[in-house]
Order: sequence, then C-alpha cells, then structure tokens
Amino acid sequence: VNPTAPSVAAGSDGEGRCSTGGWVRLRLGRHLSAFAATAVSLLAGIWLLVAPWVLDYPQPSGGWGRPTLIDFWTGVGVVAVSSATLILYAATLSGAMRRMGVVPAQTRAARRQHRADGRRAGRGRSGTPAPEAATPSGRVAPGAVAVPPGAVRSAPEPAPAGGPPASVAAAAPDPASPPASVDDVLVPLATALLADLVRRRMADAGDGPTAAQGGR
Amino acid sequence: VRTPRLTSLMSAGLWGTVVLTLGGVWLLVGRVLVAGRPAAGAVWTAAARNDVVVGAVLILVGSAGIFTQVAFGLRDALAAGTRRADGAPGADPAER
Repeated sequence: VNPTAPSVAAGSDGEGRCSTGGWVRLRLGRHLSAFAATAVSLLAGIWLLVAPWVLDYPQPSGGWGRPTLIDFWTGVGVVAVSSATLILYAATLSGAMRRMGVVPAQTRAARRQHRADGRRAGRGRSGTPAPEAATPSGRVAPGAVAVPPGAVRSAPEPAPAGGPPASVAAAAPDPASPPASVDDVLVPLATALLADLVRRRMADAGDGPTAAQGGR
Repeated sequence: VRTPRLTSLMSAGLWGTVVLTLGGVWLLVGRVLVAGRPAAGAVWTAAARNDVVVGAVLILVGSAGIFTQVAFGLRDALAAGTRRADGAPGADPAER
C-alpha cells in the first residue's frame, strides 16, 4: 500500500474518479484484447515448436525433414515475437497507468534507492541485525523487541474510565491526515496495545506503571 | 476536434501483432514456396494441414488484434479530442 498512490474508483465502464482529482479512463478493453491476441499467438508458436513430434512428421534418417525445419523455426520466431509483444503491451499499460496516476511514477534514483533498501533489509534478516534494523517507518527486525518512542511515551498515561486506553487513542491515526501504509498504522497500534497490556499486568502484580515503562 | 495522432493509434506492441499476422501468412503461403506445391489430388499430409490451420489462426487472431487496437485507439483519441474541445475540467490525463 503506497500512501502517495492515488486510488481510482473505477466503474463498470472503466471510468472513475482519481483521488488526485479529475476523471481517468482505464482503457482495459484495448489492453485486454491485445493481451489475448498475443497470448493466443504465443500458444500457437509453442504448438508449432512441438507439432513435428506430436503429429509425427516424417523424418529422413539422420536429420530433420523440411516440414519439421519450417515449423520449428517458424515456431521459434512466433514465440520470440509474441513474447516481445507481450512485454511491449505490458509496458504500454504500465505507462498509461503511471500517466493516469494509478501507479506512482518512480524515478530511476527512487528505484535504485528502493533496491538498496531491500538489499539492506535482506542482510539484516540473514546475518547480524544491522543498526538500522528498526527503521524510522516502524519496521522492526525479526526477533528484536522495539517500541516506537511515541508509544512508549503514551503507554503509562492512565486510561479514562469508560473510554479506550490513552495509549490506544494516541496510536490511532488522525482521520484528517493522509492515509498511511499498513505498517505505519498497525505497528504503533499493536505496540501501544502490547505496552498497555504489560502495564496492566504489572499493575495487577503490585508494581507501578513506572516498572512497566522501564521493563519493556 | 483535433485529428488523432498516429502515435496514439500505433502502439509499439501493435507492430508485433502485425509481424505475427505476417507469420500466419508465411505459414499459409510461404511454406508452399519453400516445401514445394503438393501434387494435385494428393492427400494432405499432417504437416500441411497443421500449417494451414495454425497459419489461419495466426492471421485471424492478428487481424482481430490489429482491428481492435486501432478501433479502441480511434475511439479514445476522438473522445479525448471531444473533451478538450468542450473544455471539460479535469480532462483525461491519460490522453495527453
């Protein structure tokens, strides 16, 4: 879920209102027909590749017959062209969606940064946890117990009677703010709930909330 | 209403569909040129029958693909031109 990506509420006719304003038309009919035609051609090419052996073409001793050669190499060409055509149609579709704002436009530098982040995260999972394992976005390396600073500050506050715990209220997203990613919403919420649970158990056991704050 | 641009009708993938259609023509016609014309009254071999059927399928599918691509492209280009001429607010950004 990308918070910067505008959503599109497309109707049955493929037309809808984009969250950034303005109408967008998803020209799916055009792309679907192109994909279908190319997929059928790809299947025909694969069939041409195997047909000489499936249909048992006559083969002269020590080589392929002329019909086999023709069908095989024509099949190779059809498979290659239809694969390239599928890629081109997919690129056309993704470009159209990017222009419409359905898919966020990513610059080359942003893609490189995204790949580097993925590699760093992979290294953190496979070996020793890197110092940046707990990222600012709230992602925590597996096995680590980390509480975002905002949740820790709000955890020891007493809950008002009849209402939700203060920590939960503090972790709840502001409805007026732009939509955040699932991680950004769920991680602080789950952490705040966990801290609240720990605080209550410590209080039941006779310890004060200060112990819960220090004993995360 | 502006005349639709050729680039909006002829996407890159459309050229691939044209090549696939020509591949069907090759299977139907060109094969006879290379493999030789079968004798009159001779029974069709499995290879000849297969090439005719697959060639016809490629021509049909390719032609249908080209037709739908051009038809949808024309429709969208005309719709975009009409919206621009009407001065509709928030005209379709995909058509730009």
